[in-house]
Amino acid sequence: MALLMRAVQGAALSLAVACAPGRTVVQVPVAFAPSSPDVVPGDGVSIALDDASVTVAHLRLESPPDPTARWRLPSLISTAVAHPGHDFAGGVSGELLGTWTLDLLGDPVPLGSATLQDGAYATARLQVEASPVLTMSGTATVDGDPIPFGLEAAIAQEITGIPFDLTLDPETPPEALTLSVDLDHALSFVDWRTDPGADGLLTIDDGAVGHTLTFGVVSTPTWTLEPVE
Amino acid sequence: MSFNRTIAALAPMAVLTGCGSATWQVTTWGEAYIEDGIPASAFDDGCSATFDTFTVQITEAALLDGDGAVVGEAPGGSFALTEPGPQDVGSASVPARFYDTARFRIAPEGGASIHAVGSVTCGADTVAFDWSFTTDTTYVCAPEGLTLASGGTSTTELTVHGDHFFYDGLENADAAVRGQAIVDADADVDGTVTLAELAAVDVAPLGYAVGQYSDVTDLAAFVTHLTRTLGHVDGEGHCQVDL
Repeated sequence: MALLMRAVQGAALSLAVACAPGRTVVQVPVAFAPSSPDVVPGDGVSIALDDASVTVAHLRLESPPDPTARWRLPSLISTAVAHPGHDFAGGVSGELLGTWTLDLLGDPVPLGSATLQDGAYATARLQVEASPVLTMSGTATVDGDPIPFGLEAAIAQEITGIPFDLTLDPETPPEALTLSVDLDHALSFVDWRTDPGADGLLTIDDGAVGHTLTFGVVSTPTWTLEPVE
Repeated sequence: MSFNRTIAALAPMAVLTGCGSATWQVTTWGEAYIEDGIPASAFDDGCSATFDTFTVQITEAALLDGDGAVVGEAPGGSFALTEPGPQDVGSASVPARFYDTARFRIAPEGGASIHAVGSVTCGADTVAFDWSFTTDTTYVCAPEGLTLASGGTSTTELTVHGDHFFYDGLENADAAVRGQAIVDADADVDGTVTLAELAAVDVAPLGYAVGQYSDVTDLAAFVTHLTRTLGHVDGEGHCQVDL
């Protein structure tokens, strides 16, 4: 299966390269940088995480939108025609295909080598996969009171518009790209004062925790993609 | 078909569209959702909505050539979409040929760009609303098969989708139409939901999705953002919007 996936990925990249006349393609390694387990989401809450993981897939890197492009031409690398937003990001000029279950508190993890065409970049997008589910557990301290929590959520949403400011010169490409996560922001929408119920454990089913956790995890400022020069 | 026969078949079309002028007619329509209301079957949570007023201010209706230059403009104006449509926006004399781009702008001019008055009903609860917006949105649209033959008239419709006010996502393709959050926003329980009351409601606990628009955190900002997604072309045709 892994061999098949690599073959498919290789074919896709070959097609992309073949259909990009005049543009130079370079490979740039991508790594994930984990977060601290000590989280401060605000509102007088502090959190000590024991475990945090999320499954993501297919990092796509987009050029700035072309204001002169009156309508998109068909592309081998599809770009979504968002509805109802009707939002058009720039074309996909780089990508790293694959699926990764990220330990958000672990060691830095190499994700692979992204294929990037030369030129300007503005944004990135990343798919959050529902399986394996997102997990977060630990203890929130609210007004001095410890509130243990164990959250599991099957989130299937795309993170869009991650700022990615880079003009790629193939002669001087960045050493690497680093994907990182801001758990302070990701967990800032959860109402940690929500009554965890009779069992004393805050779960995904308590109040609007399911919605607020999802909102924070897919929120654009939660994720950062930066070149390492 | 041989090459010669192909040329012969294309020649009349070239004569029709290659010279002379034609009339580009522009209309606008809010369809049944604005004229008659949005039924419960269209809502994911069983609510329904009606509009008493739905006025849009069209400040530009332009036809563009292949270089992006304006070749003709209809005058535009203020249109009450609760009146039966499609309504005439105006027309322009343009060179006869094929076109693939029209540009529309809904913007404030002597008043709001969009003014919507109506009500939302969820179960036994009904709330009224009277919302004015000053969003300024330019839609770049691709009318399908717009060939203006010499001496002829073809029409492009700026279609306004009233149900977009109630979407629960700003950019996800599978956004659902929901009304309960609007009804629940009536904090003073006076039967009317104001934009100020919507501004007091966080969208994160609602399960609403903002996508890349992370600055949209309350329901008033959410609905205001959705006003920039109302415009379509010729029914369901999508338009590009720079947000």
